[in-house]
Amino acid sequence: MNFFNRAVLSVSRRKIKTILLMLIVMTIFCFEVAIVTCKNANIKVQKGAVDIIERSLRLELNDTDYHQRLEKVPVTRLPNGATLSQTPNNQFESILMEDIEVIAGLPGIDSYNITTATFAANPVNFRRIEDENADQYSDQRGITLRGNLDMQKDKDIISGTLQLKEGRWANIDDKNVCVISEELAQKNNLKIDDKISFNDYRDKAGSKIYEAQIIGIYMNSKLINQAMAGDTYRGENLILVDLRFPEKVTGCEGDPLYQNATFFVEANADYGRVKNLIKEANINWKRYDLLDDSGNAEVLCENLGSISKICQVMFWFCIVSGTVILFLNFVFWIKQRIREIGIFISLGKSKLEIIGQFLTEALIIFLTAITVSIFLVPFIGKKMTNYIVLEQEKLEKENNQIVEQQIEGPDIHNEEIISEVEVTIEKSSIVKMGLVTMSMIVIAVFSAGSPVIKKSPMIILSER
Amino acid sequence: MILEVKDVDYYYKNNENKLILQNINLQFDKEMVYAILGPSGSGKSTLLSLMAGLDVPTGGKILFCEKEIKKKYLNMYRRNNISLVFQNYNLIDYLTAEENVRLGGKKDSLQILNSVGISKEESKRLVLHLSGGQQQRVAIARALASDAEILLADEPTGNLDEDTEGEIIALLVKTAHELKKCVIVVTHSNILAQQADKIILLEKGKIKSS
Repeated sequence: MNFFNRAVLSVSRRKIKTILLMLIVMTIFCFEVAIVTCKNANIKVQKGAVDIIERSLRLELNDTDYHQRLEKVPVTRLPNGATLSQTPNNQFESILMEDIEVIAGLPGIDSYNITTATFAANPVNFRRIEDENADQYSDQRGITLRGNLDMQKDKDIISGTLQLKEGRWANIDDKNVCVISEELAQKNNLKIDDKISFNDYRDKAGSKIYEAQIIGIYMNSKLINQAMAGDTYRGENLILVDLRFPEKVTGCEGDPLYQNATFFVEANADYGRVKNLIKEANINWKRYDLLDDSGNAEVLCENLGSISKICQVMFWFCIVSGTVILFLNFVFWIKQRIREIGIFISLGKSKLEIIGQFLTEALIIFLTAITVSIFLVPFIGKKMTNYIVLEQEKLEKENNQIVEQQIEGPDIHNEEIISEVEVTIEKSSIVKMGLVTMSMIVIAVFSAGSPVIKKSPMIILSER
Repeated sequence: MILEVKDVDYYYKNNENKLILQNINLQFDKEMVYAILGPSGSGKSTLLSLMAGLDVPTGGKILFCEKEIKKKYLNMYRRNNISLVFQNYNLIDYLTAEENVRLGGKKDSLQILNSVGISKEESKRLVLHLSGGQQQRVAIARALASDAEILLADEPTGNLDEDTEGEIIALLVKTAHELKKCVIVVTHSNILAQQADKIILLEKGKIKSS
């Protein structure tokens, strides 16, 4: 009976020990492949969003210039002695329509959108979504209005955060229209074509009431945060309106406050050339920043690059801990077989043959474990990758929130554009990790077995 | 003379002051049963291990067919010239009786098992499912499966009841006299000693009488 036959009989007849070892090998192998898969996972972003965002440029107010201009505004002295810098009008802190039109008219620009600042408004004939858990110390009991020239190009809509459930988005020709959240519609029993009213939250009783017709109902694919402190504490209270509606409700008709303008480059145009053309446009560039939104994708990739680093650390942790676990298991396994080693030695079997049998047993267990694992790995890999990516995304979001609370500035968040994680288990990953696991097993068997094998046969037999 | 123990001393490497065996000189022939007797700690099992090639003496030499057993040939010596039977049978637990015998050599295992009183049905069982007496028979069968001319047994009847002890002793005697092997047995058993052709008495690592 040769060592291979003995190995097969040992593995097949010591079922519990075999299964336990197999489970350990399976776990280590599955983790290794899952981590490598996670590292190589193709983090898919919404195709449409990237295509559009990557070919867009955004015009925003330059912060430094704004503050310099603000310093020149006469200061109002309050009765308590404090001073207050107050902008004379919305135009002071708005992107100017004439400048937008200059850029929009340049060759290579396909379309553009203008987005207003977010405004608090008082809901007159409907109730907003309340959140008792939120800290509402500066709550004005209002809802949030955000105007768009071409609503379907709003950043939250492009990114897929807000998705149309019913009706349509507002376009350039719409006046006094709105799109509300499904939660708000449900709470107030509102439907398409209903009209809702708003007025100035600072003068709820006396200010003029404006009506907007509901043309669409959106749903949140992800929870969005409140747009600004003091108006609302729930993303569902965001009401998207046509471009000129917010200024009416806030009592500033004819004095709009445009926060940014986004210009979309024609599909066949040279992006770099169009960007240079815009920079050369005859507008007051001191007042503005031109943000290259294609950079957002780079930022996103950088953020997700840390996932690769996490996976790298996890991979080495798995290798080291896996080897230690395997080593300890094989030490225990061989220790239990000292008597058997003694018997083989007394029968004149060489030490090499004995180790060869143990190694063969370990490899049979390994091959069986790998075969079973191949069916489990896609499931585990996908689960693990999704978990890591989503956790990372959550972390990024939390970081952004912290930064948001500390700094006021342009909203260039891009975390919403991750739509799914594509996990593909590559054959090469399985082969590589199989070889790694096999090496770990060979090392574990040799290092666990060699101290026993080195002993004198008489001592081995006396240890039984 | 098939085996000779010549001027053998043995001490553990970490304790050179304590001699386990001292100036042992013995000669063994085929077709004989030798019983090595002595109190616990007298060095009986160590002597048997040295004769079995499980270690080498620290002084003196062991000769097989008048040739010294060299350390590097111990494996071959054990495989070809020695068969061992232990008190606790030392069978491989995941193998059947027949498979255990096949470990010993290429001879017809079923026939050997039959000759030591193990039926065909019993020979297909895992050894753990056999009684102590049956396991010792299997161990002896495994020893007989090899072509080895020397059978060394360390307390082969130590774990057996009186009836089974008698049967095993008879088997060992038969092995020596009929199969023409040299059987050397370390034992405390007086019954076995009475059946032996020669008795060697060890005390404190020295031969008291032989």
